[in-house]
Amino acid sequence: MPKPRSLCASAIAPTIFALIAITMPGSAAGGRPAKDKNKEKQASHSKYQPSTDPSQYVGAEVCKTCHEDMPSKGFYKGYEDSPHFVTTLDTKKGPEWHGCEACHGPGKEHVEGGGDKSKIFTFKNASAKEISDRCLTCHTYGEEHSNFARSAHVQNNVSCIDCHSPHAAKDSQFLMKEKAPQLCYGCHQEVKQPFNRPFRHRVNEGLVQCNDCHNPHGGFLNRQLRATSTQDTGCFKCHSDKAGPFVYEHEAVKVEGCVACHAPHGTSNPRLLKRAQVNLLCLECHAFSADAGAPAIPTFHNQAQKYQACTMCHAAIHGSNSSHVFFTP
Amino acid sequence: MSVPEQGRKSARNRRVAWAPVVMAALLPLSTSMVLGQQEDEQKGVEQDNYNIKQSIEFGGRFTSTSGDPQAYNTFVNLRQGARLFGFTTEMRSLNHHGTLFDNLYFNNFGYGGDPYDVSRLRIGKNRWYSFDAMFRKDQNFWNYSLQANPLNPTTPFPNGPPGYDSTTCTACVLTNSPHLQSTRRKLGDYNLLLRPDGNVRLRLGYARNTVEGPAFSTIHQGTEQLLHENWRTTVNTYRVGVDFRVLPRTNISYDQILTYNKGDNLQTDPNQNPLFQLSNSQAVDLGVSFNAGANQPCSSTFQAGTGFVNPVCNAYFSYLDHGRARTNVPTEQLSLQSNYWKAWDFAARASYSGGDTDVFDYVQSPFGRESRTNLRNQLTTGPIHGRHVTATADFGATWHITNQLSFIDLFHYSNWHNPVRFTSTACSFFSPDLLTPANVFSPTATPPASCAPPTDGTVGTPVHSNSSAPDVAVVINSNLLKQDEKTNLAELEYQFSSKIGMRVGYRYRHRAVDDGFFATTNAIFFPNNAARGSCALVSGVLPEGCTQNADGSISFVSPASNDTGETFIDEHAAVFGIWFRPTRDFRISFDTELMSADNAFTRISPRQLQEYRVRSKYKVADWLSLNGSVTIFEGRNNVFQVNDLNHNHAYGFAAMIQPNEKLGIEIGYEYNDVFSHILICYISVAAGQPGPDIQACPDVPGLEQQLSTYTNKSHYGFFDITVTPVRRVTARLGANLTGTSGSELRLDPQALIPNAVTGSLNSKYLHPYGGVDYRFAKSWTGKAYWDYYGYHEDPTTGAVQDLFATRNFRGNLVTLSVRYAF
Repeated sequence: MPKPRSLCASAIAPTIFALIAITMPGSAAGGRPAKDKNKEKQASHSKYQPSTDPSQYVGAEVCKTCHEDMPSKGFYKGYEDSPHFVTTLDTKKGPEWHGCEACHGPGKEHVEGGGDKSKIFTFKNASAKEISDRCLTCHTYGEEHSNFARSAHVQNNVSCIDCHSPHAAKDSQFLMKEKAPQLCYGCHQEVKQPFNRPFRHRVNEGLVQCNDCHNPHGGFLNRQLRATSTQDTGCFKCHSDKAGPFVYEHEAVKVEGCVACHAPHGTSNPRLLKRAQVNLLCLECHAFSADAGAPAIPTFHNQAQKYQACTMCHAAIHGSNSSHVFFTP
Repeated sequence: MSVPEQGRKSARNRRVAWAPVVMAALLPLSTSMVLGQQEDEQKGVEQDNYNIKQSIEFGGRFTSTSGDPQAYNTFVNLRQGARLFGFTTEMRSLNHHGTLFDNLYFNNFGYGGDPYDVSRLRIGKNRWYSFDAMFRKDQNFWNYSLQANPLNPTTPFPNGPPGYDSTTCTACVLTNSPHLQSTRRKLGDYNLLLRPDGNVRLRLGYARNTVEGPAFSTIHQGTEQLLHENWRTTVNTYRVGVDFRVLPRTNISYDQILTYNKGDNLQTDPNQNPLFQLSNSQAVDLGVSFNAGANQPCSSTFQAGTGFVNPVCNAYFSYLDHGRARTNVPTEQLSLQSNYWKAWDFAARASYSGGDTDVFDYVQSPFGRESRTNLRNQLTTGPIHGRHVTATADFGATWHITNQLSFIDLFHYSNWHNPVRFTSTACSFFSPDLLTPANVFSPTATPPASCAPPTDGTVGTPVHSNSSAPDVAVVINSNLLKQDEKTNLAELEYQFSSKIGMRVGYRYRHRAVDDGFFATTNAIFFPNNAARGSCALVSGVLPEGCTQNADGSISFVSPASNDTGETFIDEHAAVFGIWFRPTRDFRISFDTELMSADNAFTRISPRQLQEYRVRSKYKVADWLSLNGSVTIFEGRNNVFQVNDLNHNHAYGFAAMIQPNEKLGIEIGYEYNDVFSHILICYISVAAGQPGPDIQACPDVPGLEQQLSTYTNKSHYGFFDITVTPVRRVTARLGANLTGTSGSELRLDPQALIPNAVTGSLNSKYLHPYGGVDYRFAKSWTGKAYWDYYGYHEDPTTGAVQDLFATRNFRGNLVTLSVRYAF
């Protein structure tokens, strides 16, 4: 048995990281955002910080004069009907929180330049990081978006507007570009086929959604998986009867997770198992080897004559309170 | 009526002549009378201060199936009848200052008999509140017959009742899964957020998950009894949270969550088959395993001449298993998110859950006969109590060193442990056969617990076998499972330009898994044959802990046994990713992770793992988009006596073609290749035949070792064509087609015909569809759609289960509906 390693390395890194953050004098913005757009562009070490100079802002009504039907008919009306329009109604916050300029930045130079596109922020050619910085200025409240900057999406240059469309959403809820799961399949093509297998979670049918299990905005867990409120595996949210705790745990379930035996999206095997015949799956662990804790099957489990399905006798295979061999619940 | 019978009946009802109905329904569609213009977009109705958009789609589905209705219901389960296919209401305040709400969204589908019913409500008033509710109901029917099937051969039973005594015992073949389920899951999530934009927000949440309904299960006690299980589980989750924004760009949240889990499942055995009778005409349950060659359920199951069940056979009169499981877990969670520092952003979360679990009124009571032990009545009761404790801490930070360069760190800590104790009292009563009630012994020695005798018990000396359990036993099992996990991912990310970026990082994960098993037994063995089990004589002497009593019984107090184990696993992984976006219309990304661990918790846990993912999207032209993806997973636990190698490769592409508004085509294909091999140990000896010529399993006498190889190759193709020849009409044709072929190790290599059929491992699942939308009036659309669901398994030549219980089906569904949007 290998000895436990020192865990200092894993614990020290974030601690040092946090200390540097707190002690670095130049890094604290402390509510002192860049004064103007040029400085904003030049600022290094920076995420997007909107200018607070009111003279740089023109207001949404000015934008409307040109953008009522540009770039498409009813463009401004579409915005007026969208949830983002409420930003124009906020009288307490500064102009950098209002209307079009809350996302596109101050519009004065753009207006004075006769609509010069280089004088205002456009999302078209911006990187995912730049775009998400803009959106997260407002959408940072709560746990759902708290790790978006570290999510696999941003890390692969997938930004908010690759899934959401503030101006031309096909699905009014959350301004989605397309309804799920088709939206997800657009990039994650490899998961389309498991959801079309005979044994599958009912995603195409609309019962289960990708974001029931995964947080598209990132998270602390691998594969952006969600957990239950008690921080157990997210599978237990629906499959609560498998959660336990049990007197006799099938240890692999809790330690390695459901995916040790199941393919969660879909398979051609019953019960989403990784093998077609359940016995072969059981025997892969319950066979002798020097460093495996699972016991081998007894010699009276003759596979030629009976015990064709292990789970027929070991029916409570996910854990039992009354039987150490999982015969009864 | 049993569940499978209901399934068959509904299948028969489905076979209706639906063609006239289709014609009748299509008639109004063909009369293109009141022909308005096709609306481009639903404008809604403006009333008072609201824009209101509503749509309703209703109609009916006509279903015709052939083949196995149980498999159809397991995979598809769309039945015939009237349906609400969709109902949506959207209300939006025109001036964003509605009286009670500014936005309302209410959407439903599936009601009227579909297996999936979903409702969603979102309602909110800017700055004041937002309420989100979701309700889902899932009719989870499951009867894929191969699951948990004993795969009985058709060997006839001499003297058996009709169906069992003929030359081919077709009644032996189980056509339903012994683990059939017809449960209904209801999931509700309700969340209220007060002052969404305020500096202090209050969150209230409630979630409820219930599973109810009948199912089958099995219990192995002598034979494998088929049990009826009444599922009744409920989870209620209550959440109160508050968010504080006391610093700029910083959010601190505190949550209190209470999860209350109730399990009230009940298992009984109502399956006494009137065909199986004792000589006193009492019906018994012989279980589901019928294999005369293997003496299942016993040798000479039926008596010569009379056909009565052999009274020394394994069989049952009744069974009961019930307990009220309650798990009550409060959780506290503190989370933080901040962009306070310009070059940094943080997120952190810490939570602690410490709850109790109890099983109240636990009782397990089999009544019948286990021939190996002579057990007739048993009553097991006792309290079960445990804890579920979880502590987690997460930390994520990004340091934006420059505009291009960032450093990311993600740290995850989790520690959970489940200590649970079962103090069981088991009273066992024995008899020599099914016709004889148990003999009840009256001890003068003090048993560890008092036992109420069975109502039909008679005073006397019990008839024990050498394998009989103690007559009275009080056993304390106190077990623990614990895991401590720390993971840290550090990444350096560099964005060269808006067209290319990459990252490289290192993930370290340490896990410590502890398990502990503590047990004590206080038991008494009554005569006859009191010196048995733990008190069987060793060289003529009672073992330690056994005391001979004056009444002939033997008391046994076990020394406390304590077995603990620890497993430490350290994983090191290199992660790398790169993305290109050379033009706005083309993007491609590549990710990889290479992991190596020094240990594995199970034999199938990889010690080395390689994962590569490539995804690309290319909009070639306005009318053509291409997608492609490659996913390669390689895992290994390639150590001595395990030799585990496995991979999962997936390659796919898709094309979207839309040359004009009238035509849209989507087409794609994906190939998936799953492979594994691993050394396994098992025993497979057919009567009268030599065992397979393979090597012995090391250190486990009697088992043989063999390399178990599994392959599964799937081809999935789809297309979807949408044509709008005129503005009123849209036609659609498409298909999702999956073909799977694979192989696996045969566990009965000596048999000419394998017991286990390959089933779905060699199968085709086809779903072509097509239909027409006809906008026959302003706001009105008529829809007529056809769906075909076909499932076919390649049969295993000569295999009983494929000859007598094939799982193939074909289903034609016609769906007629009308949508009104206003």
